[in-house]
Amino acid sequence: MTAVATPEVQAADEEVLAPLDEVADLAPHSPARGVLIALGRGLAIAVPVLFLTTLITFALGAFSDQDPAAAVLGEVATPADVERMRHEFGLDRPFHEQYGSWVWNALHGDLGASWFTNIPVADSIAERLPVSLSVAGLALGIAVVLGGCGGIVAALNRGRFVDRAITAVAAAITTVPAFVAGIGLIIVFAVLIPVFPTGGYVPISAGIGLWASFLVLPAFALGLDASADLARQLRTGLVSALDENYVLGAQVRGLPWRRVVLVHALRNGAAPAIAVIGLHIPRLVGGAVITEAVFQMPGLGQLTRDAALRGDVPVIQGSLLVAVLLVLVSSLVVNVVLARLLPASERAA
Amino acid sequence: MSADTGTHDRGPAAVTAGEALVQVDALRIEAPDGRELVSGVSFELARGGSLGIVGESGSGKTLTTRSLLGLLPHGISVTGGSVVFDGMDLRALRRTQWEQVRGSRIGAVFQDPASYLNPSIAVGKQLTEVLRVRGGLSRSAARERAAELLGSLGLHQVDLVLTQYPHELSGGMLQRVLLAIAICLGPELLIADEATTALDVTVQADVLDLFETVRVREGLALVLVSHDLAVVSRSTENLLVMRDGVVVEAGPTAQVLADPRHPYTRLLVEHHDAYSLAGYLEKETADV
Repeated sequence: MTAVATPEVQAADEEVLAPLDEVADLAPHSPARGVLIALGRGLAIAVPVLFLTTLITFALGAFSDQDPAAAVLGEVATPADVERMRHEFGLDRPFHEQYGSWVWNALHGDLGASWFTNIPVADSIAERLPVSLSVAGLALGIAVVLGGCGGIVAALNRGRFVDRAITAVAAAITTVPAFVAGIGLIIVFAVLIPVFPTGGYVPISAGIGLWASFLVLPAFALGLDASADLARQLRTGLVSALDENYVLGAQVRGLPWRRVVLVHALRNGAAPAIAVIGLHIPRLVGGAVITEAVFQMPGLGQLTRDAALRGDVPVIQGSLLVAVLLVLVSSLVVNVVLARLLPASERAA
Repeated sequence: MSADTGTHDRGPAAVTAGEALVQVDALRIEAPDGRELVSGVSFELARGGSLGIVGESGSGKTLTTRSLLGLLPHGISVTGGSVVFDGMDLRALRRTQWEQVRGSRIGAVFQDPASYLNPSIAVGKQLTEVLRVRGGLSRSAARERAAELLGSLGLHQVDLVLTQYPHELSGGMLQRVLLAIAICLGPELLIADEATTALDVTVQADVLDLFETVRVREGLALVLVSHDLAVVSRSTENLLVMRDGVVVEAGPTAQVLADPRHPYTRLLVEHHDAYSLAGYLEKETADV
């Protein structure tokens, strides 16, 4: 039977394989193409978003009652002095002209200068940004490690005590705001058991250990919420991925269990968790304002808050621009990572 | 090729205990709620032999073969009987020992091949992964071997296919890829569970022929599970008819089909005769 059938089999193969030509042209570059599409799509969104947010912050600054001339010169200034000052700041020009020159200067790295201290905004930001980035970055790292491990362990022990314990703790943590967590951490780890400083900041040049010791508590306070969310999303994603046939398929091939989980299940199951990280990054940047206040850290949040209280419009505009940029860049990175991880999802888009 | 695999003169009596590759005896499988899903199934399969298992869905045929892979669904467990593979008690294996058996000694393919491949990894990578991780081949050797395997299974443009993702391939191609993965470590037993069910009839015939070719070429034993009598009768020597977790009839395929003893088997054969093309043509001639 087989001997006779062989030529037929091969003849029939040609028919079976006929659809191959249709898919042939899009196939070979699909992973890289997915990444490029994600990148292009991200930029297409980022540019208008950047335009709109800068326009809005600029408009809010321009149309608010903040009059730097009056503010800087004080009560005793004559109207002529105020007029001269307004001219110096360029506030007597039409709005679109002011915005245009601000954008033009911003593109060249010049964000103007503080109305009050005359310090260039770009310099203030450059000085403060490392503080905020250190805290947010470490918080993100804590979230990924804690949330990642928690989620994986919970998913692998689905329904058992460990799973329920992790889920319960994660649910409890998400109800705690960062500033409450911060105060709690200060009380426990800086006052009752004084292992970490209560607040402040030293640059990394003062020594990595010292630098890190100032960052641990604020980073935990900021990252706990994200790690709890991440753990829950990862658990859910991984549990459903572990039920998929391809996990069974990988087991049938005799691949080691660890490989099945970390390569095959995690790759698909982590997608919602990675999307959640993307959602949390703006919160990490925004939450830094409060955390920096609790821990008295001279970061971008503190700079913005002080500027907002004084009505120092150029500083507010500059730091908002940086915050928006951080958020846009991080969501772009998240989308590119997702496109790289899940080339098949391109099909759904 | 002189030993015609289509002849069905080899009864179970020809299988002596010494050469049996698989011996399943009084196998019992229970659901978590205590319901018995498989109650006392026994069969033997010789090295290089072929066994068909037919039955409707829920008859326990899939669970029976899953116990040969140690991959029963969550909560379901083997509660009695023995499952012996090449003298080894499979019920006593631990996870790491199973990992040594699966793939390299027992391979399997299933219905809906696309779902058994990771949707996010190119199929070639999934094939070379097994060759590298389990077979110990280097990256380049694995790629070479993968291309060679796919070519031997009748796939063309192999280098392109290797870079494609499951959603870019047709069902017939995917089943070939899955078959290549299943046999790449040279197993002694291949389980095909409804492996051709979701395929077009013409593709189904090709894949069944391919199983037969591979079985003869690689000298592996085949367990073919299907609800379709035609599929099983086409390419197996011995047949097991299952219903509600028990074997209602067993014996050489040709014999069982020619002279079904159990009412259920008779029903299956009659229905098949009535609804198959051959049955239809016969009826037409009779009417004229």
